[in-house]
Amino acid sequence: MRRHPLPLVACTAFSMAIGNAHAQNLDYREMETIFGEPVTTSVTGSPQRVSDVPAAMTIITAEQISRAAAVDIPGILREYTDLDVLQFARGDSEVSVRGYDKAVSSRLLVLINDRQVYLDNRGFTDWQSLPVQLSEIRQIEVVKGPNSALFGFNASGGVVNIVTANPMYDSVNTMTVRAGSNGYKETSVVGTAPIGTMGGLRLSAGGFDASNFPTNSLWEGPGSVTSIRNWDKGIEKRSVNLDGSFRLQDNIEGRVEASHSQDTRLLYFDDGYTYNVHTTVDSAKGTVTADTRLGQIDATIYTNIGDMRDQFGDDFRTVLAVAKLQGLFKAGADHSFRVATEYRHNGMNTTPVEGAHVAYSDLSASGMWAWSVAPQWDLTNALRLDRLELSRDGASPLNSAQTNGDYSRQSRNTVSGNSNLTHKLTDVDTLRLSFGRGVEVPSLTTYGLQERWGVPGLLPNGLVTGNPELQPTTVTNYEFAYSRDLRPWSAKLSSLVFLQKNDNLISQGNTSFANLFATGRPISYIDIGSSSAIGTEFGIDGHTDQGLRWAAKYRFETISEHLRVNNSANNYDADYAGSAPHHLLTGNVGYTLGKWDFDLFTRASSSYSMRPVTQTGTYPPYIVAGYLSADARIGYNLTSAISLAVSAVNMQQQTTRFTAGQSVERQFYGTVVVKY
Amino acid sequence: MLRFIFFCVVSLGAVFVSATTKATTLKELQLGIRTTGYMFDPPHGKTEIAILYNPQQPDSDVDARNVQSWLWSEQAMPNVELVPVLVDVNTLDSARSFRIGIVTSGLAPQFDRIFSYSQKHATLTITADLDCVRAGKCAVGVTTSPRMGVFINHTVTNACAIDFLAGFRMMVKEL
Repeated sequence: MRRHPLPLVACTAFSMAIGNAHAQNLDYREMETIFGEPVTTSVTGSPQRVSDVPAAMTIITAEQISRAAAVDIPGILREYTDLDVLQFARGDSEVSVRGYDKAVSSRLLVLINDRQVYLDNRGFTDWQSLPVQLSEIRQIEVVKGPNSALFGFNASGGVVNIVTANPMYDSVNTMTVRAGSNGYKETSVVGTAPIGTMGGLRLSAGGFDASNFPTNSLWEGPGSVTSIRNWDKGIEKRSVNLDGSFRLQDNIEGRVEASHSQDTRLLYFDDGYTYNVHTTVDSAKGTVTADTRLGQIDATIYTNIGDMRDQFGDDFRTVLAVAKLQGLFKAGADHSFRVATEYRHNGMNTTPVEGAHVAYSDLSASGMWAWSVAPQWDLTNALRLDRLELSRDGASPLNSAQTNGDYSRQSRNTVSGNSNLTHKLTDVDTLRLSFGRGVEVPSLTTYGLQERWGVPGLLPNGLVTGNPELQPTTVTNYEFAYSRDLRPWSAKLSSLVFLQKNDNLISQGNTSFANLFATGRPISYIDIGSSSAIGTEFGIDGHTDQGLRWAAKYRFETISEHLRVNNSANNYDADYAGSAPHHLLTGNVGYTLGKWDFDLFTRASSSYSMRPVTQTGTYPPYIVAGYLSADARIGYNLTSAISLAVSAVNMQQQTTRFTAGQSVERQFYGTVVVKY
Repeated sequence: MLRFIFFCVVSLGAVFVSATTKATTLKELQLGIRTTGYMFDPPHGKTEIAILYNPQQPDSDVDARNVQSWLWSEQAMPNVELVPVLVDVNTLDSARSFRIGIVTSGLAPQFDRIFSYSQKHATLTITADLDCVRAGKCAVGVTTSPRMGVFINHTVTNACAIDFLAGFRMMVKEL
């Protein structure tokens, strides 16, 4: 049967603007228009359609973000993905992939436009301090499984890359005002200005104030710490970001980004104590991208300067500097290559015992080779070699076991890699077999902490120190995945099984705080053993042309551990097996009816356990009961420029306990967004 | 008897389908035009674009006029003005040079002639007729069903001295 062209009337809608006659930086909007789906560089380093990536990946689009009930990124991840998201207090959430989530969670590398925002001082991400407004986010890319071969250290469990609009291609001009329960007040402004035809500038700023949840009780149980010491009743955040993108020559583009953020909040530490923390982070980044007939060359430099201090005098001042050079090449029709080299220097003062500076420098070389073996077979391999050299200068505190020489003698050579074989069984069925090896380098605190504990007249002085002899944690992951496009229903079904092995798990040893209090002997970090995880994931999502959208994800996982610690009650990390819920089910359904948007997000979890600290410094297991949570949002587009929304988070009951930290209150928000 | 009727219906259907050609849709044309922005040396300013068609072939003729109408209907892009020009494939040997050519449907018998022309003039040929790309005669094939797809015949682009940006080439299917 002959297919007729669309009627001529469709010409009125004809819009085939190329957008940029000569694109170098990835123009996400344009690419998404061309291919009808989001595109990403977060899996192999080369641009790919999300349906083609050889990894378990979810992309949360700007449209989905705008329809989320949650008002922060961890909340949005909780609504749209099956990542582990633990909320310890207001503004204090930790995110992890396939279990192993805990306070100060270190296994997920978080980036903004490929710039690391993961904090190396303690080895975690301070989500609240991220200098980004929700309305300027182009998409949030979530990659599950090790990806150190592309991003280096700490992408051992997975990656979250927050991609913001590019001011050369995207004009985002919004003002958001939001108010909510517990005194929540937020304002955010984003403005973009074109600079002729040569580029654009975007400035964004925002912040919020709120009260902490009214209750100050932590976990319940014998010997529980029943109040947060010296806590501040309020939390706040302020951030500003400048993003400029310029066409320097026909084939060369440049992009500069600079940001400042500061926040004050409660932080539930992995040692079980809750701290009142003030964090400031400044960053600057420059990227130059050139297209040559050989391929695409990217040069990037950036720096992060962070300062995190708590009410007990700890003051972690960190400086990270990174320089990276990358080339993307295609040889013939079937072979793509990425080669890169990166240098990073990462340093931190010792704290709270000052006077020394601990640092490491890392030089790496990495490569990726994607081979289209046959029309239905694709093979992708990536490899990265790192050489890390540790150093320390300055004074050592009394009784410290390590000298500066102990640090300067330490170097590490690490190997990380990914290999994926993909087979398209049919036009709609795809099989994937994957291997990944990720590396998690110990945090600067773990390497170089110098902390003196003790209460005059009550507890003897003791020293907690870092350990320069630690080897990085390695994560080895195997996946077998099957996906099927259900085209008649505009839906996709995905499933996989995974097997994961973790070696050199690092924690404070079996002479933990209880022992410190009793003996005053120094304690330090050690390799406490290994663990294995096996699990399966199922997901299905779809939409209709009539405005209905829906998704459901289920994960089963079980973890076994092989630990060397003698008394697990003395170690806050000695419960990997219990840290992940066996069953996790998430779902969302939404409907757009004219000017109205209705969205509902649910999450159900079986029970899991944590290791909160007691007043005597021991860590007995605490069971977090299984829960069902629900978030909802109703939006109304008053005009094309003004939208209103009300949303509720954890609305199923007044309080829900996700951790051994604070119970999380039901929250309501009202939001006005003006596009100008 | 019923089986015989069923056989006849299926056979006739198969003959009917195989005898028809696939016209270019608006979305495919949009997709094809967008790919030109990822050429190493993309078009700038006023650019004539050839619509290669066979006036003796009704499918091709209708397809060509629809493509021409769409291209005329709007400015293609802010800094590029595409001017469509109908070019009879039977006169390609003497046709002047164009940087971009849209290959309409129903031109299978003229594939060799189209390739020779594109090679001679370094013309980027874009078509919704994927057979032309698979046959190594057209450079770029586009489709929107079952999903958006861009196919580039690497041999053809090499022969025509056409380069695409490396990042773009990694997102499309190269043959």
